[in-house]
Amino acid sequence: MELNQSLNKKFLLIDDFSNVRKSVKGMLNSLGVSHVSEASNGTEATKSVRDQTFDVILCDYNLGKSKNGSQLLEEWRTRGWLSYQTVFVMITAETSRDFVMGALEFQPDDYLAKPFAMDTLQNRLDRWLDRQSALGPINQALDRKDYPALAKAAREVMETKPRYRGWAQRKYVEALFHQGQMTEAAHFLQALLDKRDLPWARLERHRIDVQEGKLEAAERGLKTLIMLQPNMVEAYDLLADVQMQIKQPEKAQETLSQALVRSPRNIARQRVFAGLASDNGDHVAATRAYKEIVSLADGTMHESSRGYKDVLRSTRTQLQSLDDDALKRRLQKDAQSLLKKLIKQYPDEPDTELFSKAYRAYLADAGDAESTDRVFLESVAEAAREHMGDLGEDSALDIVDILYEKGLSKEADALVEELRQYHKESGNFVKRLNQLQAEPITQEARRHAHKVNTEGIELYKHKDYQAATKLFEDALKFSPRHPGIILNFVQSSLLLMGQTRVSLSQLDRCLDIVNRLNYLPADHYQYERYTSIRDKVIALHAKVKHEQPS
Amino acid sequence: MSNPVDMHTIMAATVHDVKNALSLIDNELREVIDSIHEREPDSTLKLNRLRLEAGRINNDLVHMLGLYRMNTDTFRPDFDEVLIEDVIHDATSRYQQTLESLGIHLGIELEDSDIAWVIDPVLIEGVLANILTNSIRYTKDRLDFRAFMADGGLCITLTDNGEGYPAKMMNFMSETPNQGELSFQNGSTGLGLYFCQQIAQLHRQGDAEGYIKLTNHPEHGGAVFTLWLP
Repeated sequence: MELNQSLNKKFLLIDDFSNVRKSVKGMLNSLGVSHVSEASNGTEATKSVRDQTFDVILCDYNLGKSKNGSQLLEEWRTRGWLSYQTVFVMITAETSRDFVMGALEFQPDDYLAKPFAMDTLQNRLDRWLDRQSALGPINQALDRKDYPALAKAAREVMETKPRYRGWAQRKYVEALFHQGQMTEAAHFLQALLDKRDLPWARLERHRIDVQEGKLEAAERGLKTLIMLQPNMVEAYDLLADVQMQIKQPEKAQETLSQALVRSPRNIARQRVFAGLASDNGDHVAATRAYKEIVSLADGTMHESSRGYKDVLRSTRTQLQSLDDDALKRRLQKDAQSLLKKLIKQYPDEPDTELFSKAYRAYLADAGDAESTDRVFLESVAEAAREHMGDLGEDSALDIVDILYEKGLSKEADALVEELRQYHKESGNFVKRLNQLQAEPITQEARRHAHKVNTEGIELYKHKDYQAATKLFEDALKFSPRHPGIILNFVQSSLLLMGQTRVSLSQLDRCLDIVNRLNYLPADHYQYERYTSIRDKVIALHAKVKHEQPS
Repeated sequence: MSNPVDMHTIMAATVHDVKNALSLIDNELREVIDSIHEREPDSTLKLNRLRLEAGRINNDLVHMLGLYRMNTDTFRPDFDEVLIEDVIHDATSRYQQTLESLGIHLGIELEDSDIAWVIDPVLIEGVLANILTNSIRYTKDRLDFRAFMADGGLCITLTDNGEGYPAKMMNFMSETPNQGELSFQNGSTGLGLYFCQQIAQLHRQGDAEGYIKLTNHPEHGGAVFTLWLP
């Protein structure tokens, strides 16, 4: 270590243990570093980072109850509080290194495994300071978000400093992307790849493929890349994006779930996954992911009322297709406690106020007498109509849905009418409103379906398949997507055909109806029954079709 | 234990726990050494040997878990273009103090200090650390890392000035090793080398595949470990 190089450098040391800070500071002092600031938690560290500029920040990953090192880095980078000229080093316990490394969205400049010896620190110190001075112009351009300057500085480093060539190449591509120079970027990446296989360059080239609409090529290439480099989570993100574009949402969900196994702490990815799962009708997975987001966001810059609302919404949807009472009660209890937190933490948001009132009425907690009164929900409907400007689209749909579900169809229709007027510019939203109005499943309808279904099961037990099938069909009119009723109907129809005669048209109908359950997740308790019945229908259908050529 | 996921979790948790304990032991030993090394050079030497053994247990655990993962196909390498100088320094710097106290000189010589290569840096660092801790036991007073380009690939060698590898070990490496033929006569050495070989083979470029080689130095007869990566 050249003493004069480190003498004037400013260091910030972040660790929640004062004896650790003391020992590292001692090491730094003896290596000639005299400016060492200390912080024992995220708040102190953030204040220091905003007040002054450091050359090197040594940050322990685990900061006790405070935000962890990676959450701090994310917040500082996102908010522009941390200069790229500052070297950010994450200190991790050696054994947790795999867990922390790689999967982070905001990568530190280096990792240091603790405990570390003086020799190691000295060695790294040289490395950091050398790098900082060699890459100065690149980092300055990054700070200014000046992409032409970034491209120029990166080129210069590529040509004159072979040591940092690989790093500069990435920054060069980043600069081209930001300037929309895709053709240049594609050529540059191809030239690199012709020389040797570089996983990051492959990924970026496929990113260009996707932009240019070469979806098939991108899909194939990304699958290969994932096979070779299974920890490269950004490749999964891009592949899922491609799969959504080619209308394979189930595959996209599966791809993202694999990325989440490798990197579960990424909120943005969890959110995309939850949305996909929800669209795919996999409400169990969606609710789980939304809950994960709330717990990951706790205490970070991502904390917002939105996270709570997403979980509550997803839970409500899950409850609609559930007939296991114990599980239902558990979900309801979870939802009630989340709702209380939402109300307590976000008392001043108008949208949240309307949203939480509607959910109070929906969950009808016995301890919340006010909310179980019909008058209460009527007042929510009225307040929603008066404050449409404060109401987000999702919350508006929630309120409409809850009104229908609780049998306040008149109030719901009136609210829909006004919302349609108010949002007439937003075609997508109006479409969702119309759908909701066309197929409202009220609690009453569900109760009715349940009753008819139970009667059908009695008849089925007495082997009266004809009457049972008829009742199941009736129940389906009230609750068309209910797994239990669908499977009862199909099973009973098959037995009926066994007793009487097999008809291709009835089999067609069975096939259509059983296919409504495509959304069923593999861990649903009816899943095995569903696949076994579905396979029977498919096999029988194929056989009959073969015997009766048209 | 029929469920491979369960076994994997148990192994990973155990390794995690033992590694934590080892790291604590190592840290305490280092502090004791710092406080007594001037007064009691003989005890210091013994403690340094202990530190070395702690490092070897650590390496063995990593091998065990790594090989288990390879067998169950859950081993995930991460390739990136990195500076070879950094990787060698990372593999060696924690042993600096031990080497000094044992009177072993460590030389690091790069044909070009700017060589960057596409490797899994964590795995290769593990291979180099493993070979280093082994060689410390057999060398007289020198260990030399060299990195240079050869046959269109990157070659890293570690040469010592001890008695050299016994013929048996060099033969072991000359055949295609597979687990069935593994000889455990040399303690964990066979397992360690097998692991290094597997790591080298994970590195591919076109048709070429990485390998390791054991030879003895033509002049002084010391052991030469060679790692070649395409």
